[in-house]
Amino acid sequence: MKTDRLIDTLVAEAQPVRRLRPPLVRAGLWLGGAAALIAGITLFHAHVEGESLRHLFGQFADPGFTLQWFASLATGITAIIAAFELSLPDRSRAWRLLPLPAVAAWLLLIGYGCLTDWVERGPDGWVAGHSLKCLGTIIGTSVPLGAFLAWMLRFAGAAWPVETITVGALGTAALSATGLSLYHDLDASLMILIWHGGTTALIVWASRTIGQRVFRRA
Amino acid sequence: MSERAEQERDTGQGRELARLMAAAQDGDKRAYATLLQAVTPYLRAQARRYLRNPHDVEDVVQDILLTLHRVRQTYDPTRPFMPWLVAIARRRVVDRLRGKGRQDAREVIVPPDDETFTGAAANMEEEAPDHSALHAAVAALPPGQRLAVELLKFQDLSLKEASERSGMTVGSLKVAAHRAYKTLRGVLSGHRDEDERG
Repeated sequence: MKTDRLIDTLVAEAQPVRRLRPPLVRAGLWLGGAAALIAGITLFHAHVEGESLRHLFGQFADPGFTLQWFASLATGITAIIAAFELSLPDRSRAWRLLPLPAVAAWLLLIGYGCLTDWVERGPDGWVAGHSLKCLGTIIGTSVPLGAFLAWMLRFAGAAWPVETITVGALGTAALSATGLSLYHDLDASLMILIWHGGTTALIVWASRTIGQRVFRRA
Repeated sequence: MSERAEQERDTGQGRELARLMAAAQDGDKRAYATLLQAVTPYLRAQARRYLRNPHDVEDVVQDILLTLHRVRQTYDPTRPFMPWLVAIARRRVVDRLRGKGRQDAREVIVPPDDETFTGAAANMEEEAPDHSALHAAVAALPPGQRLAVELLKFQDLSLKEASERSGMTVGSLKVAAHRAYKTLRGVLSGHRDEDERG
């Protein structure tokens, strides 16, 4: 097809479009939706397990837990903001660096937790058992959140698809881990590192791989 | 043109494109057509910097226009238009180059086994001779000579048959043919010399 004919076709097809709202507003909307979903799951868990919310939030008495929780929350929020910025063609690629400080803090805090566990409990504290439930819950929360995010970021293929997918998946997984911390106890920090950190890395890796294939085909 | 004047011109153009794009988002088809026609030569020039094959260049330009169309709601009219367009164009060019890289990696280069001669020219298929110069030279001959060549060479008649057909004697046919060959040889060899010089 000749380029001139393509232009004629595009012009003939061009219907008025609604401009996207600013990325921060859209990120806020998505985060609101994610908060509602996570709050819903937390309440459901509290109901099913017959525990009061006070019990769920009791862990905040532990400063180590509180710091980790806020670090994972910050990772989620900054990564989601970065994803919405990167999904637009004319925004700086440097946005992808936005979640890095929070990710570093999160991993450091979990790592520090592992170290104190070692000091307090010795090697026994490290084998606190496995928790496939964590994996399932993080993936289970991440999939609907990720699908909603993918729909909101559907124009990202135009400029930085892989970067957008990476930070988007990081944000989704980090927020799922944040929610999970509220309703699912883990005995040791190493388990948190393995299940939260590991699942987050797995989700980011899988999303990147799938995303690259999808965009390559498109 | 001074650098400043150039910058001012670019800013003016950028502003005009931003205005056209905003109008296109609101459904103004004429503005959209003007915009796409205005950016196409620029996109083609950019694509040519990375791709040599004219087909690839045109493909990637169309690819950019299609993407621009698909994501036109992502443009924010309060921001400059060119960075938005350039980011889309760059992504499409990079994807095209990567696609070519993958294609090259999958395709096997067949060694030139069919080439059997050391001289490169000897392996080329011989081109069909160009008869147009000969026909032109024959057409330019005097009528008697032209008739002799046509009957004896093009129609492959014998002297006797040609003599009967033309009414010329065998002797005059021979003389006319001889003169015609001489003239043709002169004309055609001169022509070839010219070709070689050019």
